[in-house]
Amino acid sequence: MQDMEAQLRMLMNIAAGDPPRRVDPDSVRRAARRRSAVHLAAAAAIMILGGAGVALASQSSGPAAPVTGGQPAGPPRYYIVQSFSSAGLSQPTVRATATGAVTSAVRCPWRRPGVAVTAIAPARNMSFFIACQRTAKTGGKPVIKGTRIFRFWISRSGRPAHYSAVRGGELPGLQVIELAAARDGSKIAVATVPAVTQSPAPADIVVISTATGAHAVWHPAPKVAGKVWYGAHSISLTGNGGELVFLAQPRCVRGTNAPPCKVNGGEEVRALSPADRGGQITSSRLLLKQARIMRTSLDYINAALISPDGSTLTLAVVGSGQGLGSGFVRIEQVPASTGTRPRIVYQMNTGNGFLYRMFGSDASGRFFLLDAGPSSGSVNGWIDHGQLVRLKPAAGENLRAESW
Amino acid sequence: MNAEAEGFARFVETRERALQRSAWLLTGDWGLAEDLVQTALTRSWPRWELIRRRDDPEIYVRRVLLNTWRTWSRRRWRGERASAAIPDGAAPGDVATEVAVRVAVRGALESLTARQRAVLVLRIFDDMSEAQVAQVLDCAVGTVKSTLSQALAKLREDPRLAELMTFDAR
Repeated sequence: MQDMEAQLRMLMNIAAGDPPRRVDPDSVRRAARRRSAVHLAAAAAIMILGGAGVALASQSSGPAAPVTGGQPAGPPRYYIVQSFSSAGLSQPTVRATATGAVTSAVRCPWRRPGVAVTAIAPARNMSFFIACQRTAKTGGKPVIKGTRIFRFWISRSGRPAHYSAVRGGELPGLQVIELAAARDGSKIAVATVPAVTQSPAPADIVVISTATGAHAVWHPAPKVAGKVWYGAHSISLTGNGGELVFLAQPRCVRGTNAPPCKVNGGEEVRALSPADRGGQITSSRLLLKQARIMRTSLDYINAALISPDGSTLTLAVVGSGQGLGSGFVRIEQVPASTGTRPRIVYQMNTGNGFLYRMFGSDASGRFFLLDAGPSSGSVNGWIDHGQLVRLKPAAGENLRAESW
Repeated sequence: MNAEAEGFARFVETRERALQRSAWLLTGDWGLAEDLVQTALTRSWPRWELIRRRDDPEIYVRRVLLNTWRTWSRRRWRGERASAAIPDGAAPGDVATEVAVRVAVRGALESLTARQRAVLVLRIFDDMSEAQVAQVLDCAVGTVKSTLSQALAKLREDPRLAELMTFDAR
């Protein structure tokens, strides 16, 4: 082999590295059987129905579990957790789900001082997107310089590998306060505010195509006295990034001599289409009004996640209940097409009041993380058939972010 | 497990890593690479008994993989691409160096045509003979030779690889 070819082979060897996951022969044979079973079932159905032309429906009467398409039966083998520390944001660690053992740490491949992970979002095949924020001291005060988005995979041994910078993921002068990813990794969504912002501010929603780096930006509408206004939070994307879903809390903007404005129905779950290439958040369409499925005065929707196939909304709801000592945290699922008839996936009775810190799901939309509990302290775990299975660290108060 | 299934399992266990690495060099994306290999193997399994009677099942599986990749390339998104900004302060043996090589190689391969990339990966990375490459791509050996020559000429001029390689004076 010529010298150049030998060097090229060496470089390709380094670049290719190790696959993050193995392909196993049993899964291949199962997939092949499913392919032929689908064809056989379709043919048999036509024969049974005698060509009556009735379409077979596969949906159950209630909200269906999200389509997973051949996913493993159990939860993800690893999860990533980031805690608060006295020095600020700690380095996220990778832990084994089964034992809680720390297998590695996640770091930002951005070689500047003052860089820390501020958001994590899962995509398929144990890949993750992270937002890395750089803070520098100016005049003795910390100043946020900007954010970059990276992607990496977790290997079978629980180690992050194959870090790469996401095209379009350089966000100078911006803080990322939320990060979501399409399961297929084709798009990510960030809720951003200017880096100089100190207090809560309405966020822009930016959807980034990871293939081209193109940005589609939605801004909050201007606040006009006498009009209804809302911002967006709790963002999530469908599996191919075709739809972005968020929570909104409509409010009347008050003003002297402004006409009266009425808001009812409580919180809303709304959707934007990245194909629209941006605009105002108020161009979104309504999926669900809180009042249709729960009381609006004492209960709140803290998080809303859309399933990868776009069929199901999973809501994290908190409330004080009907009387003293009736606090609760509840996870419900609702069909995205109707926004009604919720199905309870999990309920925790928290007594007097509640603590809620975080709710999220893995990329398949099947396995949910929850950090919530009574006022005395929250519990960190994942929801398994209506039970909360604890994860380490068990005490949830110190957690800032968790993902799998 | 019967002999056919055992043979298939053995093939997958011994070759899936190499297939995935080749698929990554073609696609630049691990998720897509895994899907590609899974699809190629899924399509090959029902014909395994027939394939096994051929001289080299690897040729068949790689042919399915390449054909699937070409079909997907015409239809699908190409996955995320690393930005041109390489993390600051690279050091030997550091993850940033690995990232830099990966970014450079992936970018250089993207500049090639699909056929040039396929020939390069099969001939140089997978170390297949010209005859084997011709069988996988269903073309003449002469086509393999000329395509490889074109690919190498293009890569010789690629600034992304220039810093990583040394070339003989011509």
